[in-house]
Amino acid sequence: MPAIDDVRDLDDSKKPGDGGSSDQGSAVEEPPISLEDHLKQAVAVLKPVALTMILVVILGMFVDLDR
Amino acid sequence: MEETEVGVAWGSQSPGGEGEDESYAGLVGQIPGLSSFVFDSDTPWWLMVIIALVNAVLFMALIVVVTCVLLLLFYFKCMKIIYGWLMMSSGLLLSVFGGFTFYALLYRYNVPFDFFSFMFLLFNFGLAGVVSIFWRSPKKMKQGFLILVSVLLANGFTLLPDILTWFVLGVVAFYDIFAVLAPKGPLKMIVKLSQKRGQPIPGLLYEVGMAAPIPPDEASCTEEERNLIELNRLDPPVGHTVKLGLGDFVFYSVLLGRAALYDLVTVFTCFIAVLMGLICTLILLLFLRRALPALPFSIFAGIFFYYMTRLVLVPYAIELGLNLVFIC
Repeated sequence: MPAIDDVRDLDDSKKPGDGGSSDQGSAVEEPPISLEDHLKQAVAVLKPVALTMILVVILGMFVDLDR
Repeated sequence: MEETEVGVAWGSQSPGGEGEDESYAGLVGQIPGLSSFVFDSDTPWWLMVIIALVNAVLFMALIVVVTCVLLLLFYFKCMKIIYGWLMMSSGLLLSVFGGFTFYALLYRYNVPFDFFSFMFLLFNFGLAGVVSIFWRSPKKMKQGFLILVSVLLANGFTLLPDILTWFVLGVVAFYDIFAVLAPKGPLKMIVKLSQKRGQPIPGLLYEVGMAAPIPPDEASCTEEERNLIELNRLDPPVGHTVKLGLGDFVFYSVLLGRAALYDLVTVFTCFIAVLMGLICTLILLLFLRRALPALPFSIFAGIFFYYMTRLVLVPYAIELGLNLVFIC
């Protein structure tokens, strides 16, 4: 159950041009993500987590009131 | 022998017996093996702790075995078996737990619904979920079904007895640290393998990414490029992404679901604690740039805040209320 930042390690043995599907948009060529973008993504991750938790609480209230 | 509240939820149903329990707990409890978790009110606390600990360890052993099987299948590139397994489990989860939940709602609110429509709806719901998650679908729909899978599973987990839930959450959080950070941790090896091969990680992951820009000028594009642009509008390609395992969603929600069985104040404090833990993990992710366990911060903060609220905050607030003291 990991949280993964999908930028490949820079010491990854696979280099652009080696072939395979990872060549397109390979992280080796990508510029480092800015702090602002990362924070936006962090907020975007928090939203579904919060939604899931709220839905479980609401479902618990409606489905099985006498628990 | 008097049963506790949890005991009633898990133990009162007997398939085919008298007085069948049609509630959600009763329906889920009819699944073989799930009706055995009964703690009587006269069970000593130390025995309950031992039983809970043993069950939590067994649960963790099951997770370890399943993760190792997944690693082996991924290592030997048995992708069809992995995706078949994932599709079957997601479909069954949506259909069975979705069916239980839907049936319990109909039963509780006394809504008439014929059997064939019910089965037809359920079949389509499960199938649509599997197709959306594993094949092409609008991004929002896929994310919606992933959230639904987590909600249904987490709602099922809230039927576990109180003490067992906390032990399971604690043990799973510790296991997560080992599995992701240890040099030979199974999850770390899966992530490394997927990065080495340039393949997606086999598993249910919620992915959030920055959408790659789509060229605005379509006039100069060929027919094929225009089709690609149209496809990208429906399902935008993503550049840099952050992925969170669906298991994390489930365990966060189990914590909240358990807190909701006690008090609404506890729900709020645990909600904030879990989100703060996740924010800490995401900040660490920014600096370390490697796969990190998403459970420990949130789960330990959630458990800590649950007990602090239950043992300190709520009694304190009640005492203040009884003495008509208002703090602004």
